[in-house]
Amino acid sequence: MKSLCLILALCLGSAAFGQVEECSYHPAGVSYAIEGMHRSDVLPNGFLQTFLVGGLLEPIELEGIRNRMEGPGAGHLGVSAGHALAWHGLVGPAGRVPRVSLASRGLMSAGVTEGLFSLMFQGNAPDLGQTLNLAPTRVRWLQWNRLAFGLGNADGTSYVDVGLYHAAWGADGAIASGAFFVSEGVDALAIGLDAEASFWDRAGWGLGLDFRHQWGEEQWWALEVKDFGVVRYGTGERVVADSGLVTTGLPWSGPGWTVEGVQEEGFGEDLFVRKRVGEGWQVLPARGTVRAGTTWSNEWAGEAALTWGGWMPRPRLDVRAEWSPRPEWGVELGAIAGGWGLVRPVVGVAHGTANGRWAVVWDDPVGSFSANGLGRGASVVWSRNW
Amino acid sequence: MKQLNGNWLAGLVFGAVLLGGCRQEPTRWNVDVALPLVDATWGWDEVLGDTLGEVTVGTPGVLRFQGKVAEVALEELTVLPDTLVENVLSPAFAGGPFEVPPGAVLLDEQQDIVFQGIEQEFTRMSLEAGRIRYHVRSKTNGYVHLRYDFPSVTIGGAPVVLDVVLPPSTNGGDQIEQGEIDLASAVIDFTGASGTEVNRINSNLLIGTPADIPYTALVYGNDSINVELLFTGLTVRDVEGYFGQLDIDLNESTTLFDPERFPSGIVSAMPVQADLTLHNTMGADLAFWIESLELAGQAIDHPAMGMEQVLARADWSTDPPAVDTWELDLLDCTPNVFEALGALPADVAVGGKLQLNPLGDVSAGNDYLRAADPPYLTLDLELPLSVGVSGLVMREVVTVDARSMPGFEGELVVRLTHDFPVEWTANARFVSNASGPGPEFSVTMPVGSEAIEVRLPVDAEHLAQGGAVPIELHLDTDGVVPFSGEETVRLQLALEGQIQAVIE
Repeated sequence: MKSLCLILALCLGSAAFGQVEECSYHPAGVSYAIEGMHRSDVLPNGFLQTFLVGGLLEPIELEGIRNRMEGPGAGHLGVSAGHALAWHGLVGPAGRVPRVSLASRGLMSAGVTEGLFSLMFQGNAPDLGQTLNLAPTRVRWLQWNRLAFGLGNADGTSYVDVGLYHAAWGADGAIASGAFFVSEGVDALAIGLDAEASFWDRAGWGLGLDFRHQWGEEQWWALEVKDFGVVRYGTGERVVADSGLVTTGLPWSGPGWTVEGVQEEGFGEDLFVRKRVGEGWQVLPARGTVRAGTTWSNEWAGEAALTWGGWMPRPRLDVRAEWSPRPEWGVELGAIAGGWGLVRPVVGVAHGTANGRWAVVWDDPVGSFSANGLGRGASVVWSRNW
Repeated sequence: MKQLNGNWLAGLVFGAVLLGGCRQEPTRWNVDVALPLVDATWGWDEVLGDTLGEVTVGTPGVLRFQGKVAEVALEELTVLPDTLVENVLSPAFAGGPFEVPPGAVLLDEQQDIVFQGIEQEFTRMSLEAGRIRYHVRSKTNGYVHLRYDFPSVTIGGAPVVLDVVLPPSTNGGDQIEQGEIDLASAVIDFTGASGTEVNRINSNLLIGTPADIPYTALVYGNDSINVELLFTGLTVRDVEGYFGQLDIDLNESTTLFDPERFPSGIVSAMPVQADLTLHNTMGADLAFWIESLELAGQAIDHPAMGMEQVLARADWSTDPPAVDTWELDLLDCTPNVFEALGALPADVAVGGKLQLNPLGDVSAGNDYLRAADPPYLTLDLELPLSVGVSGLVMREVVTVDARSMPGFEGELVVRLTHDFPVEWTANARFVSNASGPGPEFSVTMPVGSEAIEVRLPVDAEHLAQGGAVPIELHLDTDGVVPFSGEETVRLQLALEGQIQAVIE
């Protein structure tokens, strides 16, 4: 029965925080997991809802977002979704278990400066006489599929998977340096922009590695690495802007930076270079985790994990306690800090029998329903014996 | 297929997480913008408009205007009429055919090409531009070699040559070769083959069969070879010869103060020096008579007016050439020409005439003109900037081009700053191409004032249609006021308002 509790805990641990790909125990079994989340340290659910569904973005809401950005000077948003089908076989002669998984995942990570956000959503008028910093700003997007083969131990706590990656689409845009300034008297303007954006529209292929090794059983710690690899992406397009303007007002007529010139068709083409680019290498959004746990009794266990990478702007720490009041049920309560978001609670529930199990983890259950919440997310894992 | 479904599913989950539903209406938000559009400063330098004048800062400042104000146009000497030369070679027999072996010469003739329509007697010139257009046509059943030598026309020391080989005509048709020879920088000896003529160049035309093509031509009595040359677009860099007693009218007028910009006002300022000087840079004597000078119809008199003035030819053997000049002191005009100018006249008109070589061909055909250095007028003016202004009105219209700024609502900020030691009054309004004039705003800019702003309401519709901002400046001084020469008026336009951004 204790092993069932451990498996439930493993399920919860797997389901939480995007570790979605497998939850099973031996003998051979199959798992299916699905997850989705968006998380920000400044953008509330109401803003994203209105931005994407439609409606008026209220000035007070925009001001609130900006106020939250003032301290760090930037805001971040992460969005990910994916699903995975995994199978593992019987324990082999050397105690190794063959593993196969097929997964798809999309990940978007954005980091925007307070200045750029303000310029886009509030305009420059509230900041006359101040320089709006537009950098560093970066938005990345990658969608990929993975077919992985590997070997693990009998408990599924240590494994190595080698994956063939098919990156379907990707984009990467960044402002390396940039500023926007209009003087208090609206009689001087200065703009500088050094930005680059790449979009690749042809699928790329690559190889990656998933790795986990656990030391100990009741008091244990583990090292995990996910999506460590590269893809060779296909052809695409790159847009490079490197432009500057300092003026106390534009002349009325003539070519270039004049009131007449900026309205002419094709003016913007002078401000950036657009070109087709050939194949190149893209590093996968690898992430590493150091995880430690303990089992206090048949009913209680605890775990803490520190994850970095995965395009997250900051490392993410999550801690949780798991309780199995009955052998076939487990619940967890924890907290997450860092990553794209702020500190928020996380809850989960798992159910298991001798033949099948499922687990659900809910990221920020309170904030998910609130327009002021800073994200929402859920993971579901289902598995059964094969 | 499974992978494709996987992609779709991942995308669906991705979108569902982010969207929580489909777009139901446009996303809108309001952006407050404040952007400088125009910054224009006018000082005394801008008033002068070119590099002739400069202002020495002081109390008062002094405007010095020293330089060329006009040139005498001498198109009769610098632009040559087109000249067409045509040669036709026909056999002096009927019937045929007669065999003509390779290397045979059918015509070898020296010619002087006479340039028509030139009243002067040119002996040499170099060209700024020009070309020979040629058209060679053969109806001969055999190869034709045509060589036209122009030993009088050289480019870089090498004579110009037209060398053409035409293939045999077939079925009685024409073989044609045409093209152009660029004569830019060419030097032309206009004295002909004898070296003593004028307006003609030496040439030699050779027509035959090419020696290096083993083809025996069959010539019939009705065959022909035509050569047409057109000397065209000849403009002169410098020219020598006898220019004749050429008469040139001096009836010229030019706009001074546009009544639309300066509808009224009197400006009083008196120079301490105002000399108008005519420089004869031509290697030919020059006589002229100034018969009238009018400012906006008001006649101005001067003791030299109506009298013949003769300037001797320039001596180009020295460097720089020795130039004869004649000077007119404008302060001797009656009434005072600067008092008349102070009334901001719309135009000035000069009547008179020039004559070249009033004494005839005293140089034995050695007149000389460099086209880039024609006779010219200079003005030497020294004007202390002690100026009195009465009821001066200046109008400036700034065009606001149509632009698309959907959802914009705000103001066009017109900001005026000046440091003139006088008080200005400014009126401005936005005249929309769509809805016509808006309300007029009037501001007074006292001496030493901060920037004066006029805010003109504009919206997206106004901007979409464009319009104009007419600005009227009124100026009066209490008597004569000394200006330092550093004064400027600065006009700035800015756009301030709100744009509603929309994502459909």
